[in-house]
Amino acid sequence: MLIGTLLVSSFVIYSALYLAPGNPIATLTGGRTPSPEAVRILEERYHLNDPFLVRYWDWLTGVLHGDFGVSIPLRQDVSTLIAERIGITLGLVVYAAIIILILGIGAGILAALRPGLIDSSVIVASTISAALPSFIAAIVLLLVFSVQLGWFPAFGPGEAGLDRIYHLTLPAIALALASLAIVSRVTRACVREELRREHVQTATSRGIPRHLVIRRHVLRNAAIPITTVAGLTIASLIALSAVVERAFALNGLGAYLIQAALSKDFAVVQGIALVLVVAFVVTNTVIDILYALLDPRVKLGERAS
Amino acid sequence: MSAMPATTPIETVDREPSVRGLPGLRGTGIVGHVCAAILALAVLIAIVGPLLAPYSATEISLSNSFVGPTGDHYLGFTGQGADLLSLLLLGARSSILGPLIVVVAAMVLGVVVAIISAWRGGIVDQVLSVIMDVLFAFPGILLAILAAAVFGASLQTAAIALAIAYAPYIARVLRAAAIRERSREYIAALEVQGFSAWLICLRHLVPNISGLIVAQGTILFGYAMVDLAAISYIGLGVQPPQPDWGVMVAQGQSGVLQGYPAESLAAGLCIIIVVVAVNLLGERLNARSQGSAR
Amino acid sequence: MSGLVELDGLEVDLRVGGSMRPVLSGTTLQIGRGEAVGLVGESGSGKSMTARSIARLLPEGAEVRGSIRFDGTEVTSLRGADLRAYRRRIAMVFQDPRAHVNPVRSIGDFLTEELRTNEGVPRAEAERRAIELLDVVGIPDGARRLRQYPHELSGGLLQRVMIASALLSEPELLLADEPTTALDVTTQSDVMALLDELRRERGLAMLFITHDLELAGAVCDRTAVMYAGQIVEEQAADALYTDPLHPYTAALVAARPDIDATAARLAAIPGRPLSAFEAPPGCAFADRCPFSEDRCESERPALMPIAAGSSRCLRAEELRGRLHLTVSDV
Ligand SMILES: Nc1ncnc2c1ncn2[C@@H]1O[C@H](COP(=O)(O)OP(=O)(O)O)[C@@H](O)[C@H]1O
Ligand SMILES: [Mg+2]
Repeated sequence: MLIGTLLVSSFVIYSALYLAPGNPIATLTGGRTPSPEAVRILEERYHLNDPFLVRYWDWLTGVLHGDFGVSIPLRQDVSTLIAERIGITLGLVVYAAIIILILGIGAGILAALRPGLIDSSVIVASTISAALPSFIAAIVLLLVFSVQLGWFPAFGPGEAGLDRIYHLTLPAIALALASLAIVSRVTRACVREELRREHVQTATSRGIPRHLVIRRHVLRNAAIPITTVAGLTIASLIALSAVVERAFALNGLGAYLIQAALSKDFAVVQGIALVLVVAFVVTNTVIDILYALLDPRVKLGERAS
Repeated sequence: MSAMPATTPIETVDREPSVRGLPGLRGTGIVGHVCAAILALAVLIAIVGPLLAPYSATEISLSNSFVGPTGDHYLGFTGQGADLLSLLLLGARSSILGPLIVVVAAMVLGVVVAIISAWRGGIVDQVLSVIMDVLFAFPGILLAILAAAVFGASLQTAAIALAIAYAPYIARVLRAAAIRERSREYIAALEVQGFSAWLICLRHLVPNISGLIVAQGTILFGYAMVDLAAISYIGLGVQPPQPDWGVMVAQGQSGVLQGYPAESLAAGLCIIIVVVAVNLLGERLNARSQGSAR
Repeated sequence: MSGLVELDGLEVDLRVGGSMRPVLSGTTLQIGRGEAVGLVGESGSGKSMTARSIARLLPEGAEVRGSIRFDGTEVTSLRGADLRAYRRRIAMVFQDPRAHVNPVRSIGDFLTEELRTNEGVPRAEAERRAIELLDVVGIPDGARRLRQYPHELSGGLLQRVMIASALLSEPELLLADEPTTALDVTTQSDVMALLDELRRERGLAMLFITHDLELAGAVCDRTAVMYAGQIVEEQAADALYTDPLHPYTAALVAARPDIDATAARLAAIPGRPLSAFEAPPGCAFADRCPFSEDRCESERPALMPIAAGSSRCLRAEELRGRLHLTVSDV
């Protein structure tokens, strides 16, 4: 199933861009009319005359060996271009995921277990953050924390290491905010529901200390739906990271994908789109596996939606 | 001890004060009606905005760059020296009608797929769900970027891409509802009477799940609005100088860094207001449609 | 008789929406050591709430007045470690085992959790004892069962597991809340026989909740009848049929299906059962009672000793001996 989806997706990506109007020779020669000889050499070098399926097959086998082809406008290996940028995107998404998992699930659990002030504050905070699309959140964060308070840099990814984490903080928050709201609300609802379950009563009736009842029966069971929702939400950040990278001028995969789409650099678009789709599909598969591991009632491959 | 009459309802759930209100909004409470009013106003501005706008989008002079509110310019000027209020009014059109088109297209696609799946079942259902599964692998924004690469960046391209990306989600929800509806007695009765499948679907099945369709469409509008604005923000949707809220957030960003955030914030606020209104209304419509399904 | 459990004028209010609603209004009941007491009554009368009050398992926001004493200790004011220590001395078997066993933890976890957590019994030892008890409740091959999950077991098996888990902690009191109602008819009698036998062997006290008078008669020493949050009659289980002391009991006896009648249970009692919060100022049963007089509507009867039991009826003395004959003719 996983392999099938990935194969079909790669075919869709490749063929869509193959069929796109436009002439790579024109791009290569910068609009000047090349001599027939030059055209022949270029066609040979970039295999422009091979049949479609042959070229798809070449591309796919290349990709499996880590060769994503060549960017015609830049005359550079797409693999190298991707390798240079994947770290920033990965860092951004992982950073945002950590924020979501710790803050979102933490706040949700706290709200469920402590009705009253804490609960209401979490509800209010999540209502506000749910309404903030990532790119508007980015603007607000930039305005408050970079321009007015000067605490964080406005641009760029910084040097690798601690400086990178510092630079990625605002982008990660912008990316995480809306999802944070979803995850904390779902967590709160799931924990609440689980608290009311009869089997929790059974555990209590046996004189098990409350914190153990919460951990072993309430949180353990609520973890099943929470994992699914948090996982799906985090998976959706993979594509959304493009917008945030653009907002904070980070040279990650997404920002580069946008640039390549604008300049019709098809090899780069194909490569990055494939990487993002694979990441998305693999993340979803991992969620399915986790779900089956957490819930003994479920066999691998079925997810209660 | 106080004796209560035996007719006391068993559950006394806290409800928002109920408003008689419009038939389509019944049961959505005051919040639902306020949200609907905000949306109606937004759509009205989207339609007649250009008539209301005191200045045009191209009437710019750099000498007015970032000038604050003055007598005739209630919200002041953008960094490029255009009248901010006019830009907001003009931008409403693509910012609101764009997502509307996405929703209508996605709903039509989703409803058709859902009903064919539910009605035919078997192989047809399986083939359709495989196609939907592949589409699930492409998040809306990614599909829009790919589409922009192939067909060039424009509002139309982005809207079509988003509609295709959303359709599977709608189809999945509606398919389940349609299958439930299909198994009802009255459908079998109509089939026995020899009515054609299309007629039964159009006259009976679709109207009977219309509550869910409207609710899903409303919720989808919020997503479409955010995604479409984000696509315009990254430069792959509406192309400047055509005014649009997403484009305005992007164009105002240099102002933000110089301490003049008015353009970005005003456009962002417009987006947020509409999205929040539509989400609150959608939640209520959805709760209502699920309540009535029981 | 030395009372193990003594409920005295127990009143419980539950929060429903914004207001408090009484569900028990003055329940008085004793259970002696090793004694089995049946609690019968139509659904909604407050049987489960009585058991949950004893186990201190009332829903959040419940208000409790009156007293519950267990072995001389007041239970209603226990908290923290004392409350947990008390809960270990009682065990509960619930109506619906499917809902009351955590679906994502193994049978082994379920059975051994209490021993391991509260008594520090090592896992291997706890599992050995669990397997032993599974055998006692009629589940062979316990070692394999411990690795299974609740969804892999039938309702009857799961209820046996629940009973095994209740016995495993060697409690002094068993609260059995309709333990067989959710099971299919063929397993009901097996599970019931098992529960009865194990309880007698171990000299456990039991509060047995059911709406089946006959079953209560077969299993219990004494039976209490509950109506609208109050005990209306209480006496030796077998005397209930021949010599009911309260018109409601008489009506229940009359409504009991005959061996070959298929009529729905309780069909013979006119009107609908009341919950405590709906009870009128007078006798709660007055409007359904064939013997009610004007004063029954206004005067609230107390639970008064009569013969070998007690009854909450203003006309109890007067009606004595006439009840079960008359009601069956209604
Ligand atoms: N969680 C609850 N909140 C409010 N009222 C409840 C709750 N559970 C039960 N009740 C009410 O308490 C009364 C007694 O219920 P219960 O003890 O379960 O009856 P029984 O077990 O005799 O059928 C009923 O009127 C019921 O509606
Ligand atoms: Mg009950």
